This record gives sequence, structure tokens and C-alpha cells, in this order.
Amino acid sequence: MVNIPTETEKMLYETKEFLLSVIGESPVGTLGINLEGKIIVVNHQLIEILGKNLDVDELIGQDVKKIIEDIPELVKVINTCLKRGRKSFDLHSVEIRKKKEKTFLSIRGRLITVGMLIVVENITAEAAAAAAEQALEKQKKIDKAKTEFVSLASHQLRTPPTSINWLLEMLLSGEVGQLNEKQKEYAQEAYKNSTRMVTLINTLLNVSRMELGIFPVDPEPTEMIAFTKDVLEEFELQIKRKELQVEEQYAPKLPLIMVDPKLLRIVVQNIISNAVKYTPEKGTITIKIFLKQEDEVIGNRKLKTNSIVIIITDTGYGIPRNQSDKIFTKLFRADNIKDKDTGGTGLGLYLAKSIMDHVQGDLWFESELNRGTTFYLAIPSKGMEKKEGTKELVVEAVG
Amino acid sequence: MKESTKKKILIIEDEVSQRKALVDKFIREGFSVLEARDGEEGLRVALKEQPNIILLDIIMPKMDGMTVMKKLRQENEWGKKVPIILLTNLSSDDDKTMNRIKEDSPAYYLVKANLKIGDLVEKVKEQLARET
Repeated sequence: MVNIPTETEKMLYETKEFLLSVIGESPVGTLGINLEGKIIVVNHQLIEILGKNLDVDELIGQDVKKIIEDIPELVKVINTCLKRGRKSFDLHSVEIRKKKEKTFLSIRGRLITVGMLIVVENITAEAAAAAAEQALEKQKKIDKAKTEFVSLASHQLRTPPTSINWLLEMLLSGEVGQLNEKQKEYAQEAYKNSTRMVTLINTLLNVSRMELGIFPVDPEPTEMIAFTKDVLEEFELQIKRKELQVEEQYAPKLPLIMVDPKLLRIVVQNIISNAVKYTPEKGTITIKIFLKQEDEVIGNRKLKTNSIVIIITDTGYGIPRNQSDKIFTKLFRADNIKDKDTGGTGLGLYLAKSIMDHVQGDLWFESELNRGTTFYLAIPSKGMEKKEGTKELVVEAVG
Repeated sequence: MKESTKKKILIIEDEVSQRKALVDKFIREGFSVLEARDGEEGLRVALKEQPNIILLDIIMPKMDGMTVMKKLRQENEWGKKVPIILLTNLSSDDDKTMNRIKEDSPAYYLVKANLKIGDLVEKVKEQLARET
């Protein structure tokens, strides 16, 4: 038996007490095991992190598996260290179930001369943040890929109709020889459909950007009467061709309003285009623009806020009552107009409504079959809010 | 019209049908027309012939239109000033492309699918009138 001097004993005791205090006060879970895998020291933080209902003092001398048996990867790596001499390990984002909730742990261990020291930290908050960031990055990559695909696809899709249109224009102009009446008729029909294809591609591009939510809103001060008249002018030829009457009633003076003219143009163009298309010859289109107050009832709807309201009424075919709820849905075309206009995409009103929703405006209608339809556009007087985006919507030239 | 008094236009476009329509149209409009089917050939012809105006597609094999324009602008005095009309079916809202475009001062950026060939002729004549 070795005779250990009293001072050394005292120092060892003091050191042991000091170390036990350090372990006891440590903010992280700490576990010390000997080379046989028996627990030498453990703090209550570890028990809490692991969600165990165990007494720290009763664990001393027990097999370490008593507290880690439900963490198979930890059991495995400790075995590798103790039996095969692996010096250290670092397990990140180890998932355990604590009271039915997922908890993520960071576990590090080091082999020492008398056993192993293992430190456990709860990193659930950091793991959640990292997972969220990863998911966001992944979503951004997917959105970017979708956006680029759509841009590329629309570029590729526009190429053939460009060739067709230019060649048909040369043909129709008579520059490459005179066509007879029938040939001219066919060439015109081909040109019309090719142009229609370009419109469809642009509309699909817009719908796609709409659904990806990537288009910006860039408001600028706009005088709504001048703006609407400008859009109406685009339809002058078609209005003249169909001998439509256009009546305009505007408030004597309207304040400038912050709107994105590109976006609003798409909306107003769509509504006027429908009015012109679906009103028989010699019919009437009425356009009114007024400033209306919150709670005023306009076209069976109460305004939620002070708004500039554009009202476009036609004496056209109307919308069947039993199809009214579908009018703003994608690719929908009412039964009564499918034969009258084979060129529609069924996307115009969907796009218009989506834009108005995106800019906190409103779009609704009233209609009577064979009497006509009135569309109401309400833009809050406070204007549209600026929104960031990466891809603008395409504005079509009419005609 | 004598060849010497005709304005010289260079059409750099890889799409055969579009190039054919443009070449034919501009010949009928009284231009002396040069053509190239990719960016590399286009740059070579441009530097050799020094046309009065260039119609330049963007997406092309061997060398894209943006690179052609950049090289022309850096080449010499003529290259810095020659009016270039960019023609493309890309939407005009790709920020990266637009920023590159603005740097090299094209006369116009036109989306082909939305453009009538007659309107393009007008734009070319308009630009040439500005130059004289």
C-alpha cells in the first residue's frame, strides 16, 4: 500500500471538487465515462437536454447506454472510440424525440487516458434556422430555374411566329408578287393566327410571372383620365370597324394617384378589349371614372376605402349567370362567346384580377345575358405600394 | 439607285427565315445589304465593310450580339459610333441583359415578335436620317 502524503490528498480532493463544480455549473450537457463505458460523472444539464427522468447521483457507475440507448449513432461512435481507439468524434444535428417534439443535438467526444469526455448541446433553434435558410435557398434556386426556363421558353416560342409574320407581311404587301383574293384571304388568316400565337405566348409569360410572384410594382403619379383615354385610343381602329359608340363620363378633376402604369395598362386593356370584342356592331361602350368614398356601394359592392373607380359598361353578349363565378379563373371562356371569338386565351381576366389583387385594388362585375356587362376597377386613393420583383410583365401592343 | 449612293446595312441574324425576310425587304427598300449568320462572321464583315447601320440579333451561335456590340464599340472610331439596332425575342426586362445593353449604347432594342417588318424599316430610315 502506497503512503500518499496528506497535502497531495488535499490537493486531489480540492481539484476533484473544483472539476465537479465546473461540470455541475456548465451550460452544456457533460458526461464522463471510463474505458469500460461506465458513467463516472454526469451533470443534470445532460439529463435535461436528453429529456430523461433520471437521478444524476444514481447514474454514477451505471453503463452509459442507460442514458443514450435511444441515440444509436452515439452508442456506435462511443464503441468505436473505446474499442478501436478512435480519438474523437463530432456529431452534428443528431435528432431525438423529446416529449414528442424533435430536438437537435450537437455531440462531441474525446478519448482521454482514463475514458471519454462527452459534451452535448441543444441546437434545435440553430438547426431550425439553418433548415429554414436551406429551404429558402432551395426555393430561390427553384424559382430562379423556373423563371429562366420561362424566359428561355418564351424566347424560343416567339422565334417561329416572328419568321412567319415577317414573311406573311412581305406576301400581303404585294412586294413579292400580287396575290389573288383567295390567296390574300388565306394569308391574312394565317397572319392573324400567327399574331395571336405571339399574344398567347406573352400572356402565358405574364401568367407564369404572376404565379411565381416575381413581378415588381413601380408606382408613379398618374392622371387616370388621361391614362384611360390613352389605352382606349389603342382600340380606335377596332371600334371604328364595328361602328361602336363610345361614351365617356369623367369626374371634372381627379387627383394624381400613385399607380404602376404598366400593370394597370394590362388590366384596363383587357377589360376594354373584352368590351370591344363581345359587343355586337353598332353597340355602345361607356367609360366612367370617379373618386368614390369608403363604404359607398358601387355595383353591389361596398368600397373598403376611398378609391378611384373606373367603370366600363358594354351592351354586349353578357355573361351567363351560372358561369359568373368562373369568370376570373384561368383558361375559362363563357359558353356564349366561344363561337363568337375563337381567338381568346381565357387568361386575360385571370391576369387582370390577379394584378388588381396584387396591388390591393379590386375588380368585379355585373352582367345580364344579351344585355351587357359592367366591369368595376377600384384603385385605393392612397395608391399602389411599391414592391420589389425580378421580372416585369409584358405589355402587349394592341392592333 | 447607284450602288455607291445606297446606304449599306449589315444584318447579323442566325435564324434563316428571319434573315431571308430582312435581306429581301431591305434590298427592295433600296439598301445595299450585307448579311452574316453568326456573331463571329458578323463582327468580321462589320469591321471590313463598315456599314452605315447594323441590325444585330442577340442570341446567336459562336458569338452573341452583346459581345459583338461590345467589341465593335471598343474597336475604333467608326465602331464607337455606328448605329446598332438590337433585335431579339428576349423580353426587355432581363436586368442583367438590359444593363449590358445600356453600356454599349444601341440605337434601339426591339422585340422581334412584336415588330412589323415595315416598322423596322421605318426605324432604320429614322436612325439614318438622324446620322446625316
